[in-house]
Amino acid sequence: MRLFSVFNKLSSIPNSPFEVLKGEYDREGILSNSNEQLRRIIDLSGFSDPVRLSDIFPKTFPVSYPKTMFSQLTNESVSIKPFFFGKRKVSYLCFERLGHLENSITFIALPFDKTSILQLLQMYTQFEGYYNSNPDLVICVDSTWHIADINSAGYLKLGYASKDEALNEDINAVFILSEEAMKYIAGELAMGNSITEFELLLNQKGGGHISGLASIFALSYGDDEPQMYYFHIKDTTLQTEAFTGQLQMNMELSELNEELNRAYASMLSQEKMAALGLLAAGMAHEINNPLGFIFNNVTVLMNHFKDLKSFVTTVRELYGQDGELALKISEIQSLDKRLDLDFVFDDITSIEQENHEGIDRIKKLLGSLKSFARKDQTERLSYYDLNAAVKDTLTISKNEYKYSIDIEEHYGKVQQFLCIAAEINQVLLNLLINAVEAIQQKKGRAERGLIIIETSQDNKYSYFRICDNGPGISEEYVRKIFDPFFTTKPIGGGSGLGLTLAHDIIVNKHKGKLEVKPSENGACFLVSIPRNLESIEE
Amino acid sequence: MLKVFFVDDDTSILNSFRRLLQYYRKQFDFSFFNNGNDAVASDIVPDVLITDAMMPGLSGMDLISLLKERIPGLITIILSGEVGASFPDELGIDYFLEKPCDVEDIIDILEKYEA
Repeated sequence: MRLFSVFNKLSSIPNSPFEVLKGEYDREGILSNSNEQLRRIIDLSGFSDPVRLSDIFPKTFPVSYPKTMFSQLTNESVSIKPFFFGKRKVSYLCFERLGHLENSITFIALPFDKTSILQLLQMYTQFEGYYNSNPDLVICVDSTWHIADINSAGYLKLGYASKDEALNEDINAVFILSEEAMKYIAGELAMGNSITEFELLLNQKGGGHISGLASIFALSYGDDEPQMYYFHIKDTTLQTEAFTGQLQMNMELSELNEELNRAYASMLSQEKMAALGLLAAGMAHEINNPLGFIFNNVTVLMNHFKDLKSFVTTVRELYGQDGELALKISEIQSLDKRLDLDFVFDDITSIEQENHEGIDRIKKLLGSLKSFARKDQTERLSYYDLNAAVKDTLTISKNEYKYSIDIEEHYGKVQQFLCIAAEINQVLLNLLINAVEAIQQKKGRAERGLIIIETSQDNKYSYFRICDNGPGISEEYVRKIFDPFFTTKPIGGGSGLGLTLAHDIIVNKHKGKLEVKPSENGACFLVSIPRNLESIEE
Repeated sequence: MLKVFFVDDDTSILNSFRRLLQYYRKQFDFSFFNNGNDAVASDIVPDVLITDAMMPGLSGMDLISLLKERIPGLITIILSGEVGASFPDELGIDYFLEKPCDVEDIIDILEKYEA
């Protein structure tokens, strides 16, 4: 069959340098389907159709020849025959093959000379090479969908011990193909189309599977011969496995990525918590002080009260005791002096004032904490008083800066605008704490730092600027400071997420701007928040 | 009489202690300062230093190490309102009191060192 393919190939080369003759003869020896070269010979012979083989080549194919061949030939045969062209005698290698319906024999004759035989051998080798040394599976399937031929890669990969074992296997047992896919293949091939890059799954005899990429084409050995279907299948099992591996890896990667995102989100919220924790610690300290002196003062007040009570008790004894009045009065005077009542009265007044101040400080602190935390419950937009918020933030974070840093506050006229209040508060606090920490990194303890906070607005934006006189941010860090986990603080000193969070809130959520100006005299952060925000990007 | 320095930058706190401790003025000789520098500048040589930890300028720690250097055997008490505050061992602080603290706690300590 393969040899036939080679002969066939040689016979169908147009303008071939070889006198390859191809034609078919029936039981009567009548010729049909002659190729170009044979046609030319027929035309030159002067015979008119129907032409018999014996008319053209009487010495090579006598009248009895077809009858003999039809009775002897079971499949195909190769023989060397002399062909006579006038007086010229040429040896031809003659290939004959019984047709599918057994009523015709195809013959292909090739001049038996060195050049054409070499050509034949070369093609055959190529074909064999294509067939057998091909790492791809080449499976030839007949019109009943049974394996008619298979190359060595084919039967070996499919798990057969030999080619013979694989022959005549029903292709449905080998290919895992849906009925639709079969119909599609048959349909395309019937229309003369070939199919490429067709993904296939093949059963191995041992039970395994091969995935393959097939080129499928039809080949006919003769014009009324049934089509043979060639499946040239590239084994992609390894690639598929690699692909599956890749897929697996991709899935793992995306899982990892998701995990990372979750961790990142939780770190961001931890960063929020860290800021609130810092706040809470500062608040506790801040509440302790007013509470401490109120506590002390109340104790003193009780002592003062006891003194006053004893004084009043003594004075009351005067009531109705005439005779001893003079004595009593001197007694009262000495008691008055002993108790230092002038001081007591003065002190009660100042105690009252201080207690008031203590209570006011606690109230203010709690108020600031409330307005700072209250809006944290909602992610909705609400009207925001920037100046009040800056003051609140300064109050609750006072403990962070009051010992080492002076704050200069410049409040411009800023109308209320819509934003997520808790988040802008968070940004205010983060930037403020950053400024405080920057200053503390640089300054000696005795030298006081300075933070300048300004607020303003224009037609489009509300602004606040926080500038410190810390070490500043070097040019090389300016681009990195908003990157997650970027920090210049020692390990454990900062999460590196504070500015990332601020950037997310201002730029991503509020569509505003968060700009930093590098400088040798400290850092300046300028926050711009659109005044006409109507919705929030999540 | 035991000479005691009391230092706190928060004037209200300082005043509240001044009032409370005046009940013990016959027992102890108190001096009150609202900053570390004034305490350092004072002519009085204290036996005991009671100081707030966090203060602008000279902190409680700075003050302790400064005065300890000058006055060996100085008893030091630190008052701290900070959550989880810690102080270096080298300072040799004798007592830690958390704010708000009871004045009796201070007196209890002082009475241990009365001659």
